[in-house]
Amino acid sequence: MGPNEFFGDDEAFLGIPRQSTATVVSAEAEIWTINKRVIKFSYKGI
Amino acid sequence: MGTTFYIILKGRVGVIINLPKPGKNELEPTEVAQLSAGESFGELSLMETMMKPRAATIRCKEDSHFAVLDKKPYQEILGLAEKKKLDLQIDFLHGLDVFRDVGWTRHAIKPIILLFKHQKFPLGHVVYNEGEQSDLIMVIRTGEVKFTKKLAINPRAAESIIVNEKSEVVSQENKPIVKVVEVDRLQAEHLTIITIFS
Repeated sequence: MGPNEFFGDDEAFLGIPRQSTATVVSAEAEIWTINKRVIKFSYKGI
Repeated sequence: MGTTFYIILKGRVGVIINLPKPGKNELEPTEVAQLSAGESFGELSLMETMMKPRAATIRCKEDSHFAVLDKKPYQEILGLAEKKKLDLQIDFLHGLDVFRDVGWTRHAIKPIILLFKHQKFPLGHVVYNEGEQSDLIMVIRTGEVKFTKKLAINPRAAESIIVNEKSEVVSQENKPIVKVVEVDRLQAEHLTIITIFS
């Protein structure tokens, strides 16, 4: 999985444990992380 | 109202915003991210010409030291560079299907930029482990990530299960055989079903 792709969202939104182990396989990876509640909240536009 | 930009020299802070309580319409202050030494906050409300309210509350998690810039010197020294950096970050998020396809505007994305934690990891770093419980969602800005899953397979059934050429047997001492296999996200769910019924 490469740039611009989301991961971990299925488990976070379903509230289930991680279904796999995620490991960096490039020399370096920049990963942005956000709490699912922020996305849900913001998406509702409240 | 925001008039100051902060750079964390030492310590750790929590970023707090009001979110609905799960299953309720009532809002509660919720920590959604943490920032450490070298990271900064407070820039969003300084980039506007009009005074803007703060988008989040910042609370120290431990004794912390900050370098502080008021709005005028901030805009003179860092303003242009920070605005370019912010624009690039907004471009990145706005270009993602998950935001673009459901109609998020650049304006709507801007306030949540601060709530993303940006991290760089070296080759081999484990972002998370199978079985962990977490509310966090990740997006890859640069680099690549692979996914592996531990499978407990009945030895008699092992030959009939085609995983892929990257499979690696990690233990044969205890039955069932445990294999670590590289999977994509759909395979992760599919292989769970195989494990249950093998």
